[in-house]
Amino acid sequence: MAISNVSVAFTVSLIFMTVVSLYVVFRVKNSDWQPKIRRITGLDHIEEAVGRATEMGKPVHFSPGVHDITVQTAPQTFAGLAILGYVAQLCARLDVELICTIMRPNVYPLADAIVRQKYLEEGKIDRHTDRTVRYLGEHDQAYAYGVYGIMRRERPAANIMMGGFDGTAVGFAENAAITGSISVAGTAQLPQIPFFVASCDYTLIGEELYAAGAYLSKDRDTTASICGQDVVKAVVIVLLLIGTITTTFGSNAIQELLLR
Amino acid sequence: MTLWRRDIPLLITFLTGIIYVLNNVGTISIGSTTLGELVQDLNVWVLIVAAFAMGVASVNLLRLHGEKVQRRREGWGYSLVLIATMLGYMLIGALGTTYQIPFFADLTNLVYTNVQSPLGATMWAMVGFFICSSAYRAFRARNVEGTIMLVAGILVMLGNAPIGESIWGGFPVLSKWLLDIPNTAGQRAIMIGAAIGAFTTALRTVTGIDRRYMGTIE
Repeated sequence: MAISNVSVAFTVSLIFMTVVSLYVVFRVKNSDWQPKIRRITGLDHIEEAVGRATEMGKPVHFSPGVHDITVQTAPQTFAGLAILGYVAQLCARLDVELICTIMRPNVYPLADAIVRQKYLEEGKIDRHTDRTVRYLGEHDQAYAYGVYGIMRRERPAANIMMGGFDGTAVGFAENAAITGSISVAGTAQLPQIPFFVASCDYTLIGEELYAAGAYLSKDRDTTASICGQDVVKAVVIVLLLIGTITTTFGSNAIQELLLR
Repeated sequence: MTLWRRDIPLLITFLTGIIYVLNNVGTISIGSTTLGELVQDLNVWVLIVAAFAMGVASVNLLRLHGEKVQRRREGWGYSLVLIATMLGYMLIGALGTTYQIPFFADLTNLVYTNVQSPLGATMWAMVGFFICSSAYRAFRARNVEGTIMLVAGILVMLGNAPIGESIWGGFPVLSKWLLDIPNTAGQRAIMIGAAIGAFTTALRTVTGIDRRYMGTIE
């Protein structure tokens, strides 16, 4: 085995982030300490939105985003699927109809398995039908028109969008607003965040989407990985401060180090 | 049961995840093969799996709309159009591109250019109006944050519209400062946080710490 053209900065960052994250998970696993994640307001409103749908006797719409699980933005889709599990469980428990719309064929079997499992856990598998998780088409416009149609025809009381979204998603929230639905959204897609902030009632911004899955799971290992993430973030902040100071005094040492 | 439904998928996720990550470390050769070549082979497998997934998802679409047509539910006519269009376009697409029959190849392009493209353009035009209506709802001075958004939005608009500069020459400068300094700083902070979050999520998935995407099969 031979290695050449090694990207030093990438390799060092990768090893550091992996070791730190796994070390924190390992430490938490072997101790009594239960890490706590601060309250994420947007997530608390998911329960409120599903509760509202129960009272109104209307469905809940969920979208795990428009990105695939085979691209760089896949973690956003996985985070969205983790939240889908929570929403499906709530819907099954409260006897609310869930409409989960899917754009990517690769995501469909995963979403269906998650929802089916949650309905099974709640003893409501009979409520899981072909209409629960719906594939709408692997084209931006086909999916968007499909969601707009569902918003107008079935008038869900809650519209939850968690994952990677692009331009057409602002229309999901707007159609939801027109039909009187509460919208809770979360994405780490930088160009989409301002549109969600403007059009949705509650928005999870950037890393909150990733933390949301851990926050909802209450699982020790998953929560511990968020602690590892915070340690890495602290190191990045220190590097940023050092970089800012050294650059101010005319040195490019940090930039050169990170570009190796 | 758990071997097929949990352990083997976890092993596949772990191995493929490691291969893709190592491919970004540098050029790694194992014997006469490089990891890059292995990744290319895996990408072909991704396409094959995606084709199966497309089949599964299409069955859902057909069953959903087929049932609607069968039971004559409200709007069943639209479902019939969807099924006919889907199967029809699939057929002419296969005859036109796979079997290279000129008539069907032309028909495929004709339908795409005259139906699909205008519908796509209509969608993006609608998005423009949705942005305006969402901005109208968001830019109301309901609280401190809303007021800051409102003021910043007005300043940026005035800085970019010709009328702004004719009112006061400082608007473009102020607008540029808002976009370049506070906006860029905020965006970078979100970007760095999101990148670390994405890494941790990927790590949880690859190492099997988080298995919820599989439907939590324990």
